[in-house]
Amino acid sequence: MTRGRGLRIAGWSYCSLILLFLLFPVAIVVPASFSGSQTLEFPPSTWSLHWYHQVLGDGRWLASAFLSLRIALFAAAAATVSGLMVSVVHLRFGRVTPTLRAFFLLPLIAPHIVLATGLFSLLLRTHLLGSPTVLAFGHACLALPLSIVVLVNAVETIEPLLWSAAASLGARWWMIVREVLLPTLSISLVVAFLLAFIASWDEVTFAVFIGPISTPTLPSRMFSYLQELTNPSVSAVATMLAALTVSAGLVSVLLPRLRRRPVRITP
Amino acid sequence: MTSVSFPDDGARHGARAAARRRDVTRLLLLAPAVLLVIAFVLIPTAMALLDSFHNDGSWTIENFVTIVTVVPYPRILWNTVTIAAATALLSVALAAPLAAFLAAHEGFVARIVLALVAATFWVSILVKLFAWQVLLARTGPLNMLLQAVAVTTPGTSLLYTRGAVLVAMVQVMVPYACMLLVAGMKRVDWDLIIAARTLGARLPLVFASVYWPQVRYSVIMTTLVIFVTASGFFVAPALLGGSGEVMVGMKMQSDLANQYDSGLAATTGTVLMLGLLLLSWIALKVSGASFRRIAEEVGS
Repeated sequence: MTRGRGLRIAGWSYCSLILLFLLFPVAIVVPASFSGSQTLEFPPSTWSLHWYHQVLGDGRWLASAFLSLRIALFAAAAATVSGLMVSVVHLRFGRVTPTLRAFFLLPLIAPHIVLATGLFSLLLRTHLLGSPTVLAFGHACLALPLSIVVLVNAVETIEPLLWSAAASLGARWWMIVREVLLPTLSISLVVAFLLAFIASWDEVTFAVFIGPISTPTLPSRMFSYLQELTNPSVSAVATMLAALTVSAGLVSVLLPRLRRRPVRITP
Repeated sequence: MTSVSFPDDGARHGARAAARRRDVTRLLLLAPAVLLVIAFVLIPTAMALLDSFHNDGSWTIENFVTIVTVVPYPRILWNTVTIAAATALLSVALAAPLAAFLAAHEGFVARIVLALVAATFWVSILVKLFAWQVLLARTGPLNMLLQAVAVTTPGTSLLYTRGAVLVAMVQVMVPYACMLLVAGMKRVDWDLIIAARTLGARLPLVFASVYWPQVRYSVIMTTLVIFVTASGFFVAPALLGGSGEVMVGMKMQSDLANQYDSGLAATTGTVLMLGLLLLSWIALKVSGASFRRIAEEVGS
């Protein structure tokens, strides 16, 4: 008995230590961003909001944030819709084969620096290097495995006969999608969209290799600021970024638990 | 096929047309996803391969000779392998006990811990690297602490060292490793372990012959995935490392940005890819799994 208890205490202490290692470095960014001094310091000696004023008053940061937002919204929408279409195939036309599933996971497994290099050479020749549209499509591809995994897993809980039943009652396909599929998948669609959004919003490799240069995406601009290491206003950007990502992540984790599934369809 | 005869020829045509329509619909539904992967994975990979064997309009292996012999390339390849390997081993070593513990505990606190681990996974890598820049700075809290207990002298910098790169990369990778490992370790059959204990097996024996075989695949697979991911990092060594920590991603980016010539970058990428494929093949042979199973595992 005592041995089991000792093991449990050791286990929880180990958990706490690892969590400290994972969370502490991120946590210190927050107080550092409210520092009142002119250089970056932790712990801060005085408090102020001047890094926030500086960042929010700087048109370049705002332009980058706006670009990142547009790209991420497009990429997330494209990945979610493509993923939904794949999941419809899974539901309606027989299971998506493991080979095809593995194919859809390629963007997750293939080294992004190699893909970015190939794209660089391709885009250089077609004079599309730095195009935000191409980057948005690239992000959609990188986010695709996430949305497909979420949606195909969600669709597996739906009874396939439901479609046939609706069709035999005279419903057209778009009606079935609107009245049966979308309500059943609503939460998974939001989760897929959020995961894809974060994947694009935080993406660095494609953004640095083939992304726009004069107005880079937010991560790309942050990367070049961090390389210079002289501008503490990045701490404000980092805090806002972390806050946004954590809240999006929390929503995607909590959402499926807050709302019960609207219809229980599995037998 | 031909021997099957329908009573009504019209019905047969109708069935065939319906089947064709189904196939077309299926293809159209899959098209956007498949096209995205072709456009942004298959074609770029093929392009990188092509570029690496192409120099000044003719086919050559000159690029590969350069990569292997000309300074700094061999050094950079070696850096990449050693840093990625150390990151993978350290991350899995740190994450495995945590994952084993969390996988064996069902409860509110265990769920909270897992949620916190997942939350750090979703924080941008740039935010984490920035945090390490602050922590490890010359006048940062860690250096001050070390100076106070006289471990380091005021001049030493913790930043721009291999240690800085490793600590940050491990911090970035532990949540990923933990999530992959928990998924695999949830499937451990504890009844087998209890049975072995009841039959009088000692703990080391239970671990080696009952527990390890059940998690071996998951541990090897996770190490491989972390290694592959880590070898493609270029932001961590660029922000925290010195000239001794240049990894292939950084070099590829600077080659592309400075020379606008994708030959050497593509060759570095090809060598990296071939190396990773070879390594994955060996790891899969050792663990007795297949690429398909990895894909299913990552996807589940």
